[in-house]
Amino acid sequence: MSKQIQERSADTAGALLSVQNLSTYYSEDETDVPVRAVDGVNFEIARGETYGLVGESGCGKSTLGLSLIRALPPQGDIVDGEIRFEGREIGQLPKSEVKDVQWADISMIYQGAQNAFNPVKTVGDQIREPLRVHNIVPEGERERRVRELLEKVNLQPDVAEQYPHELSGGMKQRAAIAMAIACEPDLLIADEPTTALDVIVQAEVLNMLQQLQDDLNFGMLVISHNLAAIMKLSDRIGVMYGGKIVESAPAETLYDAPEHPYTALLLQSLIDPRRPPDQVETIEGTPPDLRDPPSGCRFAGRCPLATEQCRDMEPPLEVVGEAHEAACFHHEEVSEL
Amino acid sequence: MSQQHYDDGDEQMSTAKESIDEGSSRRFDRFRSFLRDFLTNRKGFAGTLLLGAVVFISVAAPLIAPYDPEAYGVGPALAAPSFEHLLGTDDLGRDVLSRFFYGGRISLLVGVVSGVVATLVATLIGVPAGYYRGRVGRWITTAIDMSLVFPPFVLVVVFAAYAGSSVWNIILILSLLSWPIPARTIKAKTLSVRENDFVESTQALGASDLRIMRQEVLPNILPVVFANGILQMVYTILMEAAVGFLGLGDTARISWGTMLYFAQKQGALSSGAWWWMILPGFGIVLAAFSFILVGSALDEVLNPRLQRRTWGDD
Amino acid sequence: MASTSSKKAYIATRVRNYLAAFAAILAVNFAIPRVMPGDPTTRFVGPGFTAEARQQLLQEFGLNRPLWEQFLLYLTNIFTGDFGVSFARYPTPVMELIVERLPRTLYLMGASVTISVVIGIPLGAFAAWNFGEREDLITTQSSLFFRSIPTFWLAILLVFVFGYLIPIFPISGATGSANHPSFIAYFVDLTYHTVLPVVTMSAYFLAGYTFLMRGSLLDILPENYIKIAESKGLSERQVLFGHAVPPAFPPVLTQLGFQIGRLAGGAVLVETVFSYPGMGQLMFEAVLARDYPVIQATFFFLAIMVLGSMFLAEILYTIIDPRIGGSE
Repeated sequence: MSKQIQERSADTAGALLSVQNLSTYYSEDETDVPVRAVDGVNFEIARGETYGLVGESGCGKSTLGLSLIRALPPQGDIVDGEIRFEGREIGQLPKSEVKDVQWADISMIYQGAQNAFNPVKTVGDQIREPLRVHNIVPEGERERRVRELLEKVNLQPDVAEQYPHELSGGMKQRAAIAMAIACEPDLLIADEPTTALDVIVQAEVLNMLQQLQDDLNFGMLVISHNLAAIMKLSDRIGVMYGGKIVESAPAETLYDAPEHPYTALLLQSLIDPRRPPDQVETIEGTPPDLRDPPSGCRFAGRCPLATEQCRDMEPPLEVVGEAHEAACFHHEEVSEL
Repeated sequence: MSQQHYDDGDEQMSTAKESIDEGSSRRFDRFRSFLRDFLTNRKGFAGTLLLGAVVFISVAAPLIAPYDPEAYGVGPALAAPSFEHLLGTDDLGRDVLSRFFYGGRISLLVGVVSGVVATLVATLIGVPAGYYRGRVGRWITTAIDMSLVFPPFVLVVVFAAYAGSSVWNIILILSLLSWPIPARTIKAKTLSVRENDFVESTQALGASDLRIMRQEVLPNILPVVFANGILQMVYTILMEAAVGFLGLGDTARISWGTMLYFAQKQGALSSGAWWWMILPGFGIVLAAFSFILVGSALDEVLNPRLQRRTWGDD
Repeated sequence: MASTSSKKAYIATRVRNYLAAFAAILAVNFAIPRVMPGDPTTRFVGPGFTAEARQQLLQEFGLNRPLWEQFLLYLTNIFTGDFGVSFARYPTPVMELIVERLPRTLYLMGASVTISVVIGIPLGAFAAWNFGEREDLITTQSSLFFRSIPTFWLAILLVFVFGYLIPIFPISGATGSANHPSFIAYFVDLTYHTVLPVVTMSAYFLAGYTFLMRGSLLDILPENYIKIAESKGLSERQVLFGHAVPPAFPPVLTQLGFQIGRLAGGAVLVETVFSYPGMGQLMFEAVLARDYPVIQATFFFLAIMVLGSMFLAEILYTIIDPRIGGSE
């Protein structure tokens, strides 16, 4: 385990974002048994790269995103690990300093664009707000900047004067993207950017993100429960299960040759034509209780390959191929699934 | 930084649990878990204790009252609290503590009965207002809104002037006048229940509106109706006390409101007889506060909108 | 642009509803003295009148004519401001009493609403923001407690404390002297005299608005735009007052409109305890004296005041909430 971290550190010097051994727990108070939503996660994202994070409900992927932008709910705490952003540790920064990083350097498209805008303020006001807070653009030019941003996401500039309820779902999602890139962040986190949109708008939004990334060269973390939705967009994909990343590989490698049974099952449910494409949670069984996770592999309870060893010991995340890591004792048998 | 509402991951688990234990024991288990939630709720516990105390002194008044509440001259007039008269006497030498014990009966009777009737009326009007779309729903809603322009207490006073004021008159008037605000709440809740799939599918099966309202809508809004009813009683208790205080109640019966009316009329405060003035008011506060605690605890437990949600992501 | 015109349409339907409510008030006010048990003519003619005066009054109210004619006469009288003559203060026209009292009650109610809103809204926001913490528990539980105190009893306690123990505020009347050199002097005098009544009335409603605002804000806080506002790097205060309070306020305003009726009831009690010469006290005295013309007129005007305030609240709601008018 430690050997791998060292290896990783060696080749991450140039990474935009480098997350090491990150653990985020939730607890109501000191006496409460914490929920280990994110438990020792490692990964990095380079400038201009898109990292896709996929996993089912409750696996901790959104918590991971909220940890990076330091917007956890009050019960959530980063209890361990490092978040290095452009070489600077931001995981433990005091709140006053975090505010300068938020949105200016790291911004986020939240899950559920329908509620991304305050219903009683105009869209333009809300896009302009981060420009004002971070004093990015001189006051007189902010108006023009907002209109430019709206044009960038293929919206009419006069959408700025409209209220959110006057926009369609797809328009709101695009406006939310405009808001997220307002300060030209270096890292953009997109949590379920296409969920709840219809298929045509989904494709539009994904294309738009791709195009904006080409223009602005930001690193991107795309979070989704739907592997198919982010497969094309992502350069690399991390699969998260029970608070841990269980496999990480370039998108094509992951698709062609998964080395973790969970990934393999996800892919199977994906290409089964009888199932609706947006449902990946078709693997039998329930996710582990993150208050009291099993001592061995967290997937063992649902895994067709699980053995005694899996239940006793936790498999480490190991290099299994070119830029390919998986945490499974039986990764060689996965192809037979 | 303290808003704690993040999507709840436990939802899946609770539905799974519900499907496991079906059968007759399920209802009982649900009731037990409700009772546990209610009594571990700080407000619920405190409210139940206070309400128990109010009910106890009202029911047990004949047993615990040291004197006949109506008997004149059981002590000297306007006597300060002493061992013989723990809370002193009034201007006619009646024992204030004994009258206080009996006074709760009318408050509870009027408050509870008119609260129940007003809630029934509110349900009968609020459910169809939310259930029917289009013209019918709009008409009923307009009728509810129009009723809100009649100030209830002012009307009570007017009616009392014309029709006199037996206890049952007061109950009738309070019931008929205080339904519009709860009717609005019930309407809003019905509207949200109505949007559910099961209502739509029952409609598709051709069930009659009345049947759907009774069998699908009502069970789902019952928690709201229940909590609202209890909170409604707070208002009716306060209104009853106010009517009594103005001397428009049934002055032949002892109630906390009329005790205050006589105390005020005979200048209890200016003659320094604070005990005569303080205790009945305290009784009203106690009764109203116990109902408001129980009502808002019920609201929190049965309608978990305000319940502290935690994390859960995705 | 589109929203402005649909807003107008929305207001138009509301105006229609309020006109209907106005008609309902007219009808109820007409019906009350006629459907109540007892001889209806006694509601219009005082007990000590000569047969001649009695006949003349019956004529004036048309009580010996068919009901529809009586109703027409009633409408004509109301729209010409003729509410008859007070029995108890014969022969003062009722309208004269109303004109004198109405502004005082409006002032009392207006001041109480203003104070309840100005304090209650931030207090409720503060409680919701600290949901489940000590600050929230204290705020919530004390507002529930204040909501349980009968208005009149609080009034009595304040009279006792400030009238007898620490006499720093006047406990009765609206003004200290009948003549004031200027309006400002009058206003100062009035404000000084209304400190206790306003505090009494505010207590109940302040507690209500605090609780309402807390509930409304708790509905808003889990919304995405609040999380986004936080991640934009805004301060807590900016998030709370810039993003959470504005959308949480309109629903509270609606509730506020509904509760104005209760405020009118509070005015009857508070004015009575503090001997404040407003509409409420006038009505109560009229009830005791069975001064039916005054009862009828005070009821009518109190109901109209409630109607007007509800309408104002709704117009304000429509103006500040851009969501209104899209679809109902």
